[in-house]
Amino acid sequence: MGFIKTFSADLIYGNRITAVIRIFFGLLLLMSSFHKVLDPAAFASIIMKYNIIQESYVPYAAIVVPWIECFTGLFLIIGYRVRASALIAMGLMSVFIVFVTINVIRGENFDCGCFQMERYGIGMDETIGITVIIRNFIMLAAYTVVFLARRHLFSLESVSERMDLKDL
Amino acid sequence: MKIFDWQIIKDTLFICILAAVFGFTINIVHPRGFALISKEKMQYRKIVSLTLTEARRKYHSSLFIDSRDSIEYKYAHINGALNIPVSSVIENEKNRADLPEEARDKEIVIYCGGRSCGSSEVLARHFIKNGYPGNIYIIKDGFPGWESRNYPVERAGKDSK
Repeated sequence: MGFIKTFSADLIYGNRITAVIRIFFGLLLLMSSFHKVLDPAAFASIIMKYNIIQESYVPYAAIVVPWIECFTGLFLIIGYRVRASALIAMGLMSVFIVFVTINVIRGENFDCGCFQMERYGIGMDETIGITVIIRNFIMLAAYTVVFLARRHLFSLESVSERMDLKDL
Repeated sequence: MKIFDWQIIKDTLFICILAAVFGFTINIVHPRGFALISKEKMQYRKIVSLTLTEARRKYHSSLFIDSRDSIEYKYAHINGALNIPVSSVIENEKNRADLPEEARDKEIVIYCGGRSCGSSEVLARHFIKNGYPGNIYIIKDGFPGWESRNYPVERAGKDSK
């Protein structure tokens, strides 16, 4: 019990594991934005399948959301504006969880359009369902850890902090 | 350390604005970008294209419509699909193809002769114009794609697969 307490306290303070989580999940976000940025029309048709957003707003979501994912992922990897990026990532995950859950309840059965690994020749089942919901919850938990962390090793923020301290 | 402070709100806004600026700027020159049009002109957005795998999943629950000519349809078509040739709709708008009875409580999936045929989209627009309320799905790769995957096909004079 004591080990778990120390481990989570270290994690929240910001150790190397926190940094690995930040970089890995940043990379995932960046990866998932690639195909959406390259093909916004295909992403729009995925949003349509969820049948939640009003049609007239779909193009706007298809234009902006991939770039939010892209910048958020990039900033998490390099460690720039980390807490804000983690907060946005948490918001995105929460929205995805709600969208997928609603469609699972409706009995729908289509690809979530999350990573589109088929495009890169990697077979991965992305059909909406409990697996996708659990995966999104895991990602939400990871971004929450990054958001709550007090310091971020191997990040631009820690480099600039160190430089500031040198100047003192 | 406060969980929320002004800095985090400013940073969040910064990222969102940066993303919006990038998104809308690149959309102008993007080959698959959007022409951002008014709500009234958005009716055709109800047409959603499906991959072959997605179409296969809808096979048992949806009504499949073949928009090709009746000769092509008779030769081979998706097992159980109805034939509403788009030519009959174009030739005589008065003699419009009404929504089939089955479509009232089923989703519609339309297909034609391939990626570039376009007749499935024309028929989908026709149905929307005539009051079909839901999304209409079209199979991106059409009948050739469906056939190449060995999905259920009915051929003239042969048993269905």
